[in-house]
Amino acid sequence: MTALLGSRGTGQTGQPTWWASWAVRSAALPLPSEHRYRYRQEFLAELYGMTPAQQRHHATGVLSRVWTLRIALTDPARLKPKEAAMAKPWRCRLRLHRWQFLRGAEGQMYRECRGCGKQRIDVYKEGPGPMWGG
Amino acid sequence: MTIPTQLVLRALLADPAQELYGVEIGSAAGLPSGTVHPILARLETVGWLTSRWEEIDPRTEGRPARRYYRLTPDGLELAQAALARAYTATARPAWLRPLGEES
Repeated sequence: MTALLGSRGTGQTGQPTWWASWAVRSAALPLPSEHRYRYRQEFLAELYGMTPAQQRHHATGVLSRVWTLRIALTDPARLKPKEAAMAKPWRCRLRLHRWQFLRGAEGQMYRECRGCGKQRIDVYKEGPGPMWGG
Repeated sequence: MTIPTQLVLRALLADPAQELYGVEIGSAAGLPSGTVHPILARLETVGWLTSRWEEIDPRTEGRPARRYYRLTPDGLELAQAALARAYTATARPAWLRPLGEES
């Protein structure tokens, strides 16, 4: 049962490593008591099936945003300005967009940044090609 | 509406009948770990999302149950409307619009 609750783990593929389990359990501590158990279980369950590197990345991300989650749970109205201020990724600020090519409802091709949602229509060509900047 | 929130809603609207857990939503939205849960919490608070624990036997599956999210019927309509408004708000300049599109 303790293993299923995300205790030490073995570090094998698919099983949480002990430090990732510890990190996500720690991440749940600042949350309001009525939400703590739920998010601890949720974060732990998400570690299963990840490689150790993915677990490290995931646990770091969860830890870094736990105060934002706390605000979202306790005072959602306060979150919006802060979230908006952090909305544009640094890559996009440097115009290093991550373009994905999509087709609109009328069949026209356009590209959209995965990070910030910026859209461009390339009227001069049909398919994707080398794109620089934004 | 912020862009990360729009990305999360788009990921959920891709197949509104399908339930997704946090990492799947983050992956579909292209957002880093940790960014998704505050957005999901806020959307759940306002009633756009509902969540439930996966119904599995943890001993059989070898892992704990995941928390799955999906749009509520109201959330589905509101999310579609909000994304349409967001798209309009970031409308392309006239010179980028296809010929024949109204301004």
